[in-house]
Amino acid sequence: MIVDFCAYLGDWPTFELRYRDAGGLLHLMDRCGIDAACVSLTSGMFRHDAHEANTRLCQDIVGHRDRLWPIGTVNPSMPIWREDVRIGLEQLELSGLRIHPTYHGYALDDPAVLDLTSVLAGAGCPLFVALYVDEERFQHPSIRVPEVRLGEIEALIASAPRTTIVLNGLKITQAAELFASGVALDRVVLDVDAMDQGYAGLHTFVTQHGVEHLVYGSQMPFLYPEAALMVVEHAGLPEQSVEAILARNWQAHPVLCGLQHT
Amino acid sequence: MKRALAALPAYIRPSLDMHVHPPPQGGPIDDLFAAAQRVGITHLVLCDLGTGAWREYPSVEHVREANERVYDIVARRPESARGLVYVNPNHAETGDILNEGLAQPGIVGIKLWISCRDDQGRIDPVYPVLELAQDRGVPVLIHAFERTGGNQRGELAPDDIAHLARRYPRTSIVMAHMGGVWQRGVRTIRPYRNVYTDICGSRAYLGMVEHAVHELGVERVLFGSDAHGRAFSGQIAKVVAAEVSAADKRRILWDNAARLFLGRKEGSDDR
Repeated sequence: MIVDFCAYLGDWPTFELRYRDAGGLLHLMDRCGIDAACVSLTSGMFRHDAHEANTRLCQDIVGHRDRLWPIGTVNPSMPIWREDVRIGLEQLELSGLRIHPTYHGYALDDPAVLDLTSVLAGAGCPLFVALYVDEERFQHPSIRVPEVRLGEIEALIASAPRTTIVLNGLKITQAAELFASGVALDRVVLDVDAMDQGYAGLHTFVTQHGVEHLVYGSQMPFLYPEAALMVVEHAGLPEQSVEAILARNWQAHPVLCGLQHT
Repeated sequence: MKRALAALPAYIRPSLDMHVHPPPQGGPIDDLFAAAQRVGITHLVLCDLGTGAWREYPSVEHVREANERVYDIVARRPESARGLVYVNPNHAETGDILNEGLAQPGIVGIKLWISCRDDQGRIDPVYPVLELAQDRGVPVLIHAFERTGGNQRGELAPDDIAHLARRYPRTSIVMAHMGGVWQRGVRTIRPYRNVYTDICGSRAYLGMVEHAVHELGVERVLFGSDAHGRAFSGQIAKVVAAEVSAADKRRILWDNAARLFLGRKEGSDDR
């Protein structure tokens, strides 16, 4: 079962997205053989009230929860984020929560993020961390966000050993540095949507660090979902490694395998 | 588990990647060709921007050394490799370097990167290069970007490409990277039939190929990957995924670039 760990619904303020709704996303998934996708609402990055975005997300995927798994947005720099988490998990039955530190303007080593990881660990809920949505070189002048520093990512992981963390959009060079840092990655997975650097980038990474922490993610509908799929399929990896990234690793993970049943 | 892209689509082979850089660390490049072959890319057009860190304004020696490497690769792989001669147009030796390069077997065009302005910020140094290309009937691949926060000192933007297209209407110009902000970049060059674009240099933004085809017509859209910096697979996926016909994909993957860089007519693609 192929699951996309990085997908969005909705509009984007600076350019047109060709597929914006549940039907569009399902079309892309069918085209690529993707069975399910962890989706967040794009406007969650911009709304004052994350709960509003999460409610809308759940409305937008009514009837499709078997394939579109709702990953709500939470902003731990806002005062009532704990309430957003509680309502999101108890009432909206979100499958996970995603943070956008660049768009929400805080660092990953902020104490509030640490508090959030603790709450989510207690709830058995995975934390998705969106590291890279729009390329810095192309960002609209009115919405410019910096890259997340690797040191912040390391600090987050080191301070939250009980939290399951999905890193969305980590570049392959950063991924290699993260592994080299020695931080314990037992509960961390990385999606492959930004791992297209270098003609042999993924192959080199897997040779050095294995496939156990990699999962498929596409960042559709910003990106063609075929891109990350082809990067994995045609990296020259052994067949079992390809299958592990696309379909097996997430199922072997104690928290992520529960997403299917939320 | 359905693996939709485990096997390559039938239309993909052969493909011509017209925007490839040898790895800057030097050494054998068999792996580069092997990675291309894995996704059906049978022919590469290479331009070398130098060993070690690429320099915005490379020296004459740096340029000559880079070109020598391409000449060597092309000479060793005449069946699958072609090359572009790279220049920093601010050098007095540029004309000589171009003539020497274009006399080499398999060198089929010219590459300009980000040394395209003089120390006053003027674009004038590229004019003689475009004139020579026009006289020799070879295409010029020009890096072009519209970078948030401002371009680098010698980096051209789509507006500059449009200016060059007007000034040299008989020169075939390829605007690299769809001009950076791809929605605007291709619209900027739309009126100029002598300007093409390649689709590399960015992530695989959904809709970018369809946009280029819609704005320019499929015959002006070329497949390039920008490898070594990018994965061939992730870049060719832009064409595979695009909602255009299989015939149009063939034009993007082979016909258009073969006509421009190999001097081949449509349909003569060695399949």
